[in-house]
Amino acid sequence: MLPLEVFRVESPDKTGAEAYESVIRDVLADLELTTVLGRLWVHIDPTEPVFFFCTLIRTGLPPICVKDMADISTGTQSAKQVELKLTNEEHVSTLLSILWIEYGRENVSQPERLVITIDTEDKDRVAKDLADVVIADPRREIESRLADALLRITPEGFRVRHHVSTGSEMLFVASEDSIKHEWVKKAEDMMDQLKGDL
Amino acid sequence: MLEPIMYEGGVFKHNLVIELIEDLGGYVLQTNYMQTEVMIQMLCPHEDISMLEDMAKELRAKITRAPLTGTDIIVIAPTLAYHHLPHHACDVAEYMRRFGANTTLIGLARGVGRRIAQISAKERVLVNEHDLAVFALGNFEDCLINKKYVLYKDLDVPCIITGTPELPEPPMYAKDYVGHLGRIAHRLKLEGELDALDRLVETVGKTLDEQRLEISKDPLTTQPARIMKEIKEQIPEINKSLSPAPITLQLMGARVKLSYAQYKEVLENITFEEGVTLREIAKVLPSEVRDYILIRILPKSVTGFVI
Repeated sequence: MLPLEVFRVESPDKTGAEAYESVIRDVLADLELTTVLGRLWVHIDPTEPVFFFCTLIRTGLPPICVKDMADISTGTQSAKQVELKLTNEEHVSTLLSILWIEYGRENVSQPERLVITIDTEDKDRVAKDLADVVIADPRREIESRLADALLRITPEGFRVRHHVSTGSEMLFVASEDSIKHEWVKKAEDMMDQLKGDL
Repeated sequence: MLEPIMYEGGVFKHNLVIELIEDLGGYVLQTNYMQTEVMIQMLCPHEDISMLEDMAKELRAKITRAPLTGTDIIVIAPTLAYHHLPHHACDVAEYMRRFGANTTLIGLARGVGRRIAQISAKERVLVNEHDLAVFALGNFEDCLINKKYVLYKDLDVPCIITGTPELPEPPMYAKDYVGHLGRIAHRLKLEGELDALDRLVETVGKTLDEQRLEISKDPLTTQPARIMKEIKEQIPEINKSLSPAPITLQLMGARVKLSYAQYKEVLENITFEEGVTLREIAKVLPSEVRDYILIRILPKSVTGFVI
């Protein structure tokens, strides 16, 4: 699925729909979501009043583990420490705070910019455990950004909301009145059509 | 008649312009220094503008008619959420400042939605304190025509509405309408958007000119600018105010940024050359903006004279 290969904003009010498309583009660009969404279908009917938002999320990046950002070694046999040689500095601050919590601040040191050492008695076990510790999960971050985008895009007065969210799709219905069953049904149909083109 | 003029030029010898305006019987409303540049908003007698033009030419400065000078405009967004701010409500407020207006921006407490949109009594009183209200509304024609009028139908000041669609005539209760200025989530800088802002300024200027004409049928006892001059001369505390415009001029009076409880008496006792006090020619009222003071000048039909 290409980024935003389907981008549909519909409304009985044509001018309103065009203006809304511009708002959605701006919000997605501001929150860096343009490459995250694959297909998007928004329908707004101000007279009902109801707002539908259906999107398919592109399978994103896998979680980043310690082994993805550093080479783990146990050094010489006599040394009682594990050595991390950083290959990517992007998440170092998160890594350090996780190490401090896990092994104690006094046991973690950074003698050089790209080297972190952990003093430990059982260095083989630590080196093995550490490899798969998750440092950052871009997918979780995307979910929170997507929720933020939805709140920014939805008309502000539409405060009664219904949403269904899985890792790969998001369905959202909002109105200022109670949500009707037929609206939810319509949103599900829209989602099926969006997936049907695949 | 006094013409609202904006002078933009270098700081060098700009005091000659201020002296000239005072000699001609005009008023300097606001002077803004920007490093080596200066921007002066003033009121100049219509028949003497040519003298001002000559001096501006000599000093290599630019003078333009600024129809919004000396007016107090309120820009109203449905709420203060990021749906409306900083674009486009702040952009509208900022653009009108360039033409000399004093603009205030507020967000209503419950202005959003269709059925649920409302304006409180306190907000209404606050809006009525200004010369004109600009409502920055949204994208859909049905909302603009059939629902949102509840926000401005009970206001006394003229209301200008902005929204996305082009409407053949303004919505009910609105004085005028400007299209292509609906919900926009980026800074207004594209050609069409700047054109829309220019049309808004033109519409606001036209509405204010109509109001000025209406006021001139029963003229005010004195000019608001004269009251401003007397306050500056007789109440030195006003110069200690940190606000960029300690006295905000309006078409029918002024808002003075001093405490009402402390300065009401002092203001009422301001004496003019002709021997009258402010108490005789104007009402001094508490403003809805903080604890400021609002002055409403009485017309000739009430006082029986003009000074």
